[in-house]
Amino acid sequence: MTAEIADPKSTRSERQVWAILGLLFAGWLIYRAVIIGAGSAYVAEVNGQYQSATYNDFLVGTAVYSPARTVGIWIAAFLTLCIFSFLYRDNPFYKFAEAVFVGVSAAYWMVIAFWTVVIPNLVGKIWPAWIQSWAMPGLSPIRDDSWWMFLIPLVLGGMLLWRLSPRGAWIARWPLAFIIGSTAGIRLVGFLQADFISQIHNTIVPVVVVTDSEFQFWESVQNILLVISVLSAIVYFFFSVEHTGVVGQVSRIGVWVLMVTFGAAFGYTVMGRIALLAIRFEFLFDDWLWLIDPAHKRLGL
Amino acid sequence: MPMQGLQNLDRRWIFLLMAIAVAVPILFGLQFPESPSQLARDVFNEIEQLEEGDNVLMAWDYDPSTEGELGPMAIAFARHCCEKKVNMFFITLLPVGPQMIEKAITEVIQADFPDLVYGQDYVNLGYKSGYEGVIKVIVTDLKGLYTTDARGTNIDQIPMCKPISSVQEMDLIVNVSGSYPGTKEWVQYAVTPHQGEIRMVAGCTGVQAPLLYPYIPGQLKGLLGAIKGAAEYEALVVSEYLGNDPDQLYLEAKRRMGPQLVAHLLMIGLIIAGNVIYFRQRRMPSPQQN
Amino acid sequence: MKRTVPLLITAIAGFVLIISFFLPAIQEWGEGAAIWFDILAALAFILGGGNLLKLHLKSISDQQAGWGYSAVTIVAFLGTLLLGLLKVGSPPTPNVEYYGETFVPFPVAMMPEFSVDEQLPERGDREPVPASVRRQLSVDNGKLNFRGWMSENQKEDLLKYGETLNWKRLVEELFDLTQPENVGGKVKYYADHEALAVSGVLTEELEQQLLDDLPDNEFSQQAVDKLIELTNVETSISVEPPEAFTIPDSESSRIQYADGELTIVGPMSIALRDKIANLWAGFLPALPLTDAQIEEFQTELEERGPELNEEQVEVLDQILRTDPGLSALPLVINSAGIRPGTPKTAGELVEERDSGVLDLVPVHLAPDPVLLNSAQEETISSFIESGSVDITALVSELESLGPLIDEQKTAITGFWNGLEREATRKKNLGIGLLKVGPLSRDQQEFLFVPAAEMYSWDVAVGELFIAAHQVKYPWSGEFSAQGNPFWWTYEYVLQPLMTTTFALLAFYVASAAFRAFRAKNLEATLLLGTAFIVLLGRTYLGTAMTVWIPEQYSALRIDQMTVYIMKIFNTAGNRAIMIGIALGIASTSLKVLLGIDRSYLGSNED
Repeated sequence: MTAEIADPKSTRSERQVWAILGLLFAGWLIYRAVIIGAGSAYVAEVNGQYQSATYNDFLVGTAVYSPARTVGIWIAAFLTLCIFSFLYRDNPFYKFAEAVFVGVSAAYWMVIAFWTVVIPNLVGKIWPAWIQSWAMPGLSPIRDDSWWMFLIPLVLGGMLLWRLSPRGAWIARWPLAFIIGSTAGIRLVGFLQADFISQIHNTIVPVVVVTDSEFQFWESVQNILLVISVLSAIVYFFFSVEHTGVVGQVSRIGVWVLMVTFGAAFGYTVMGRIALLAIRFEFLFDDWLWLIDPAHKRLGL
Repeated sequence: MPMQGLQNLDRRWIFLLMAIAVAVPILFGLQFPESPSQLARDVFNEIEQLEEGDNVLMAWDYDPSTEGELGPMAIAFARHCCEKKVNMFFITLLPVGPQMIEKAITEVIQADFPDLVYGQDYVNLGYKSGYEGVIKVIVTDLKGLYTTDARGTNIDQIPMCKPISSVQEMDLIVNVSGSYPGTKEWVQYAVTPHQGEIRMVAGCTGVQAPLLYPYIPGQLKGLLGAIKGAAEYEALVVSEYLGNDPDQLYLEAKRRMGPQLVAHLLMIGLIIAGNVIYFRQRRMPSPQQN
Repeated sequence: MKRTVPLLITAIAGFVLIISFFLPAIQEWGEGAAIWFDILAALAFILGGGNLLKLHLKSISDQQAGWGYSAVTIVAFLGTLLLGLLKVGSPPTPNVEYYGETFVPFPVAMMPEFSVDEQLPERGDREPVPASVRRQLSVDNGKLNFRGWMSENQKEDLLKYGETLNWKRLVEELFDLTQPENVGGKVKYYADHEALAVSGVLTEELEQQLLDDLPDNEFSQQAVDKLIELTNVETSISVEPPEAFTIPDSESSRIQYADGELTIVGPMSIALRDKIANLWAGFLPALPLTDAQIEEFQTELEERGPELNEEQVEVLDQILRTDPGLSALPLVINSAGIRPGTPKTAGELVEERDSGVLDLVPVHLAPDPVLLNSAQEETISSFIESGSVDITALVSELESLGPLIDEQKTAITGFWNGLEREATRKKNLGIGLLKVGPLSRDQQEFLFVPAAEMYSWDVAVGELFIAAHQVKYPWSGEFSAQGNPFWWTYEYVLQPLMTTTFALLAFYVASAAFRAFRAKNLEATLLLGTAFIVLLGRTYLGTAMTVWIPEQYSALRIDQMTVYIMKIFNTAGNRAIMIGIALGIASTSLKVLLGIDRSYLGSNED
């Protein structure tokens, strides 16, 4: 970022321009919201369960206007714009949205971990009858024979949470050691098998392809190119041999292969990033502002 | 035009260009035809050759952060599997994944296939923490971690789960992968140790796709890369099952390819512009340097 | 000690997982370790939340720069946490609520005990008896005792426990023995929930029967009294039912409608709810219309607003003419008349075996199929042609013309109720017409009001259904059930923030492309060239630009070039990188497991 953008001091005329733009935008939003109803949400409730509904359902009379969800859409739009405002410069709106994000996501993760793993897979294994009696009526109230095995993660888990206490940092090292050890154990095998042995195996392809006793020129060229490319790229990674002479030439080809690889990766990355932006704009234009209606959700408007 | 000025162009102008390149095609509903590539066909055929009642593990490993790329794929996968009347077992390794499963269930299964019965035709097993550790367990012992489904029903009382003891009994894994853990981990801990027994197809983000190519075709039967892969596969599903006037839900990837094309052009333009400026500037040394 | 133990734990955990991969005998150890790992991963999320709280609280108490944002974070954190942990606003999970049944707590120990003079089957693997019966089944002095009334599920589980026919016969005997003598089928005992359950209302007659089946003591009397009290609760709502709404005589003692109040005694089951909402409401099915009827409908519609445009007329014609498949009715009735043979009980099989039958067939012979006769078939076709909607009349007429079994009657009503309703068709028609042209407000009303009425009746019945239900497990609901505050937080706060944060990347990648990608040398040019081809080739542009290249050189088309780049060079490059990374991971993992790399333990000795 260049110095002038980072400078938080705005000139007076700049502030005026923004104020006018802001007012115009706000006026337009009020028009869209009040006259057209943009950003409204609808809901259907049957048997005490809620279901999202569209404007069409509302028009027909099989859904009602939902104030909570409408406010939700406007808040979602506000937060979206808060985050986008960072593109102009860092500002309190962005910082606010970021702070909310951090808080909500940490709590969300915690709640999920609690209800989907800690309760059914840990507490529910050790005290199934208790958990069955209030939280998970579908669970069997009978303990498994190997229920005592779950005392170990219970103890290790308690030790892990000890990290929050200012004293006794060594206590959390035991569960940490277990986590590190099992990660290493799982990965060692997984990577060697899938990414090392299998990849060597996948590269051993016939360089002369013959199907139905007919020589397949194009297939053979592809396979030859593939094998040469893999080998030369691997040679480039061999740092124990000096990259001169023949090795140097081969490793140069290896570099080319890698450059093509990185170019492809860049192209694909761009592709992905744009889709992530598109879905956000779709939300703003479709659900919030009602400027577009690709799915015909709002007939007769 | 002073090159110096362009070189130091405020990047907010580029941001604005990007915003326009994506926004305008969305506002005007720009769309283009799709011609499916071989990899998308491979994915399609792999699901197409399943038979009614086959067991399919729908591993939905994505969340809102990658929904733009992967949402349409997941919807198309779900639709295709419903059409094939296979038994669908939804699971996820990401904390926010259950919401994505919920979406597939409400928007595709409950909306368009109301006859499918929960617990007999599809089941939502939900989320478990542990990343690849989860795969490691369920590949030999599904019930070691999944004692209930996401709704708290005892797994032994769910008809379609009764005969299943591990992932090895699945006829196919359909994985939608946003980041870590995702397709790579499924290949490493499920497919590779049981090669020949477990088959898998995947749809993944643009960032992951190039990295997964080395697994094709031995460890991965087919791969949909980013929104383009989704659009191709979606086109195959639509042309096979949905006729001339498909529900707009199943054309989401196609719609999203409009902004994609314009934005790609902008990217190419930006790179070329950047280079033109750079080379011009190199030829005439800037005054400050002497 | 403080360092050695962690090192040992690391090594043991890791090596168990590695060895278990190769040795099937200890595969379970590896599984166990992985399960512990998964549980700890969940606890790590909780630790993460705790850490966040600690950090931001400190920031506030120290009044660090931006502590206000820390306060925002903490409020957002605690708010979301409470909503989720307390499951605020989550309705209970429907599948464990046993709608239509009323529970009263009744411990297993208080249930009567039944015994047979038999043994458990010999099992080599020392497998314990199925978990579902473990609390109720006991063995002593050569007797098999079962406490409480056995359920079908428990019977199934027990049947699977032993292989022999004798065991299966014993289980059947025990099952029959443990069924309540008087209230079988009307009152159930759920051992898992330790509850007696009554469907509907506990009548006086049933009360006495139930008391006879339960042990004669104070506790049983209290439980039954409680059941009477709970099942006789009256619930009512104010509602205007549809015109054709009627309550069948069989249910009129429990459900009544008077003066705008619909009242039910006791709880409502899901089946009853569906009946009230659909069957009793008398909504007519959508039958195909004739040309004249369609024309009439169109005039009626156009009287209320502008004339339909051409496309709209087409839609109207298509929707109103669609045949819902009425002609399949005879086929449906006939297939319901074909009944499969019922499976024989183990008792019957044992008897057959003992009488010397060698090839045991596990099912009874299928009864003769009941098929429609020609008179019946004719009646059906004239019924369809007449466009009549009186299905009960059809059933009684069919019955008078020939045999009609209960399965067939159920099939007819099932088929009839499965047809789309007239109101739904009108609604779909309205939506279809709106897609291709305008409709006036009057026209919309004409098309939509029946569906709206159907919906509001459904909602009202749902309200009564919930109001009449006594919640059994208020905490069983999903924490993220649609519509509750936690779900709202996800949908309108977390999801937009997550998506938008990642959407920012599109802007940064554009800026980077402009600033950083320079074709300074051959390598950089290769990278850029590839990126161009991929960017073009993965959109329609690549196809359109080079579609003129003839088929035999199709490899030169940009979209095909992309395919080959990915398939050959990208695969090769990434494979080489993958091999390198795999070796790297393997060596770091080994270093950790062998204790060569101890950095994860931290440096301070405390």
